[in-house]
Amino acid sequence: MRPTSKHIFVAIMLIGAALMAASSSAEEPSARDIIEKNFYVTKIKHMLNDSTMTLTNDKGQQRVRKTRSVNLLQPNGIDGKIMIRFLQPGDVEGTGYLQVQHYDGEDDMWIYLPALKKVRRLVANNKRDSFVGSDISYGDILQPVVDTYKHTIVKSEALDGEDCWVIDSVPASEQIKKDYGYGKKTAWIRKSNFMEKKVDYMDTAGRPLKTMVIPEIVEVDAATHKWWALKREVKNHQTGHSTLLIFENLDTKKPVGEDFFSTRYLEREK
Amino acid sequence: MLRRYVTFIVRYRIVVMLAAVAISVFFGSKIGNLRVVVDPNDNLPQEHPYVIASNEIERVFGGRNIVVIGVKSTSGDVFQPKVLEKIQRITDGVLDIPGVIRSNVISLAARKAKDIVGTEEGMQVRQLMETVPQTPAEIAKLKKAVYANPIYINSIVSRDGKMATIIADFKSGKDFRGYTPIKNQIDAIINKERDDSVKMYLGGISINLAWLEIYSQRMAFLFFISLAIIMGILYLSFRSFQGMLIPVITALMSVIWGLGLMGMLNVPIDTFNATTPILIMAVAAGHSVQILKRYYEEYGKLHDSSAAVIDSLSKIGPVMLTAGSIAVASFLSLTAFPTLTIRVFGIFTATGILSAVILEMTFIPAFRSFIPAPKRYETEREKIKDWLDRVTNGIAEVIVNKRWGLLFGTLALLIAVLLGGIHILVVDNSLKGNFSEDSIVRTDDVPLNAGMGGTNTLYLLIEGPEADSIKNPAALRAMEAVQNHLQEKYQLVGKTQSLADFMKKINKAMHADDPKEDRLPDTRELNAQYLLLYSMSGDPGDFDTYVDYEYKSAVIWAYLKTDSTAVIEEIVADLRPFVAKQFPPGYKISIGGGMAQGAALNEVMVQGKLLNIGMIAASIYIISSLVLRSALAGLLVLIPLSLAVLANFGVMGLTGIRLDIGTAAVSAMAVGVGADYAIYLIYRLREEIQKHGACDEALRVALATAGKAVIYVALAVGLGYSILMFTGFGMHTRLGFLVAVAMAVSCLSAIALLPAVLCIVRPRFAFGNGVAVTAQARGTGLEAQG
Repeated sequence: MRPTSKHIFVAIMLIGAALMAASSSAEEPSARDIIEKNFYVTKIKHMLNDSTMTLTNDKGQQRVRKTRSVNLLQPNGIDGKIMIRFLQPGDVEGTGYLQVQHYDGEDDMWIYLPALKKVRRLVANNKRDSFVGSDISYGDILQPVVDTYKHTIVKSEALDGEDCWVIDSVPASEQIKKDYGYGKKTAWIRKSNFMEKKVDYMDTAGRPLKTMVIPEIVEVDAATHKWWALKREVKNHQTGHSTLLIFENLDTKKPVGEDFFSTRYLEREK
Repeated sequence: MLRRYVTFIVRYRIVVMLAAVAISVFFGSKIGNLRVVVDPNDNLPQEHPYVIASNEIERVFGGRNIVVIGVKSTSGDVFQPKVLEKIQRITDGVLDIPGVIRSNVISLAARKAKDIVGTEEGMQVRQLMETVPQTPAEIAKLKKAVYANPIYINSIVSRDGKMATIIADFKSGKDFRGYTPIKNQIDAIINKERDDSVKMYLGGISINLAWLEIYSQRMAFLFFISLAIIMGILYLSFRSFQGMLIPVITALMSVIWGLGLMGMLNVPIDTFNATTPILIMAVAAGHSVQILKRYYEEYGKLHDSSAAVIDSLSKIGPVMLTAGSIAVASFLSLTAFPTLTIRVFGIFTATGILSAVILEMTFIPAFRSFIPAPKRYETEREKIKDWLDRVTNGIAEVIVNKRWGLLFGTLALLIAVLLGGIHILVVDNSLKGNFSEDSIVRTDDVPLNAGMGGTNTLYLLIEGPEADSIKNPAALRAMEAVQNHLQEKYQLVGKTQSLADFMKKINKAMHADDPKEDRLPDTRELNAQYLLLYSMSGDPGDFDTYVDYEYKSAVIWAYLKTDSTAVIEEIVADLRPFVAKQFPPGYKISIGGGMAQGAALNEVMVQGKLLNIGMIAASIYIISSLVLRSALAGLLVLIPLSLAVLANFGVMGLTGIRLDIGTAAVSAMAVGVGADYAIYLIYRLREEIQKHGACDEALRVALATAGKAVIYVALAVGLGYSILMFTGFGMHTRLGFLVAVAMAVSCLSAIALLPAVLCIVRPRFAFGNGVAVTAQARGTGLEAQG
């Protein structure tokens, strides 16, 4: 077949398109790449920390809970094991919570109530359910794997002086939409380290649901570029309820053994 | 002085008329701002402990503007996909209504309705019905889950499963626009679901109040019927179109001024203020008739319209000013009522009557001198003796012939009967009792009340000494005891709910659903840890309607099958000592809710009513004693009023009408209107006694003139009001009936009893010692107002 001018034109267009794609990927990662980097940036091998969760309802009344937790990343680099011990208020002191995550299935959860002296298994929750009465859902704690949502870059803009990508993420299927309870997420992701700065959540009917702001972050491991949010503020626009989560005493050096994550350890009350 | 003033008005009649019309146009333009709204809070004494508790409960827990939607299956129970789908669609629809408190919406399909279930390993908390079950197995599973959670039985599903409800709660903040919009939106949602498979019912306080608003709006229509009746009576009285039109013009303009002021001040019309225009119209027409009657009388002598206007108004003006001031003062005395709606009613009625007096002193004399003089035959016809003259003559003869036995014997008998009535008078407020039995409000309430726990709420607010007090096992146990007591002792209490129910359910679930563990935990720590545990499984708002965020206060919700405040007062009186014994020291228990607020209203109403009547009597006594310069005169004016009040309460007792917020306002209204009769009659009698010297002739003339006018007015007011009896709305029906009774009694006592007493006692203020009445009247100072 003789090359016609038409063929040549198509070939030139294809080469041009390929070049453009190559050059843009060099300058600008794709939305999926950004979310993937964002997904792994908080996957810290192991960490101990103290946290204070302040819950405030629409009338300004508060509940304050102090906890100590131990985290260990699983070999798959995605799932974690988390052991949380409640320190305050006094009447729940010693209560323990153990979660073993399974990104492709249901998490295993146990709770130990010192007043009952018993470990009880918690039947898996919906991803959209609230975690200990906060505005953070179980689905937010273990961020879903990248392709759970479809991502598009909306624009780039500076937010409080930090350059961010603004990325819209919509559920990849109706089932995911139902499970997580979000119709859309819009995230402002810091260009310098791939940590979110702000996320707007829409409910399944497209109404504004909540906004999470992460004003303070810290690089806990410079070698592997791992970061952690020292402060998270989540405000539910529909209930007027808000959650402030502050982390302190982060320790990523101290080794964490598997033995922390057993029901027997839960019963130790410390 | 007054004569000079009226002459001035007549001379500048065009200017006066234009000014009055301009003012009317201004006020008329403000009527467009009027809104019909029923805010239940307006009716409530804000400082009453029940109301304070209710406000606090509603602020923290919600539950103020409840709507109950009942869905009853026509065949079998509600556990069939078709019916459950309806419940789900209605729930979704209700959640989208602006102003709904989403976390307070509960039904089988609501996210808040959780199944708490124990397993071998632990506890599971799941939404009862996330999706509508389709297969028989799924349906059986849902049914089992529902009945395993007793807190939902008789609250969102009836025990027999034939009825389910969707309960919603609405905010009443600054965007609140009345209850009718809420009802309309709910109607739109449920009308789509109506078919042969279900029957649907609407209930709850918001729906009842929406109906109240709808009935109140009918007042506009009733106003014009009332107007027509008054016009008819006036035509029969004067037998001339002029005589029919002039009082109606005064009345309409007074109403426009009063309503315009309400619109201007953005005070919404509620049930009570919806009747205000009719009252203002009746009173205004009353004054106008007295002046008009005198005008015809004077015109018959002078045959010059302007001179007759000046003469009649100079003579009767002071009387009208006196009567008007007394009515205005009486209605203003309603501002001492602790309930806002009655205060507003008092102020606006006073404004309307004041407008009528001003118009009769300005626009009407100007207008009457402007229009052509009455034709000769009109004057002649007005003089013809009719059946009313026979009535007034008969009364005059009874007094002249001193037939005291007949007069006072009848009176004594009447008083005895009325006192008997007062003895059996019941004080009771029931919002639903205001609607007739075949109204939708009542017909929907019956199946809702029968199927479920009850559509009327009573709340017990438990306030602990500090945060986390509710986690104290003693407090939860006390709550459980109070609930058991309520449900076991009173059949009318169909359901109670509190955090204690959930704590028992969680404890049972954590012990693998062992029935022996269906009990409250023993330690505060366990309560706290259960609540923390629940927060890992349930939603944050699940317990919001039962316990506050700091666990400092909690509510027990009781659902009752009656909204009678008399019943609730009995329950509360019995409950107080029981409750006080249950809780540990430091806990404060208050009672609130729709029912308790009604009881509060009831309590305040009795005191308020006595206070109110006392105040009206005092203001009438003081003003009339001052004007007539005799302490005895004041007492005489009180005669018809005391009898009217006695008759009101007596007839209420005899006919089984309860003293409630609506009927309580009637006596104040009745005495305010009735005072006019006594004043007009005393003045005319005094004038005639001065002229004739003897009681007999003075009596005959006064009764034939002012007395006859009093009958015209009483007929116009009584009949004008009686059309309220045909509204089908109990509150208005009773109002119409009682005002008619009050008019009849005060009219009869003013034209029969008052002159009789006057002729027996022969007080100096009437019979004088040579001082001319006109001179005396001139010194009153009231005249100077003109």
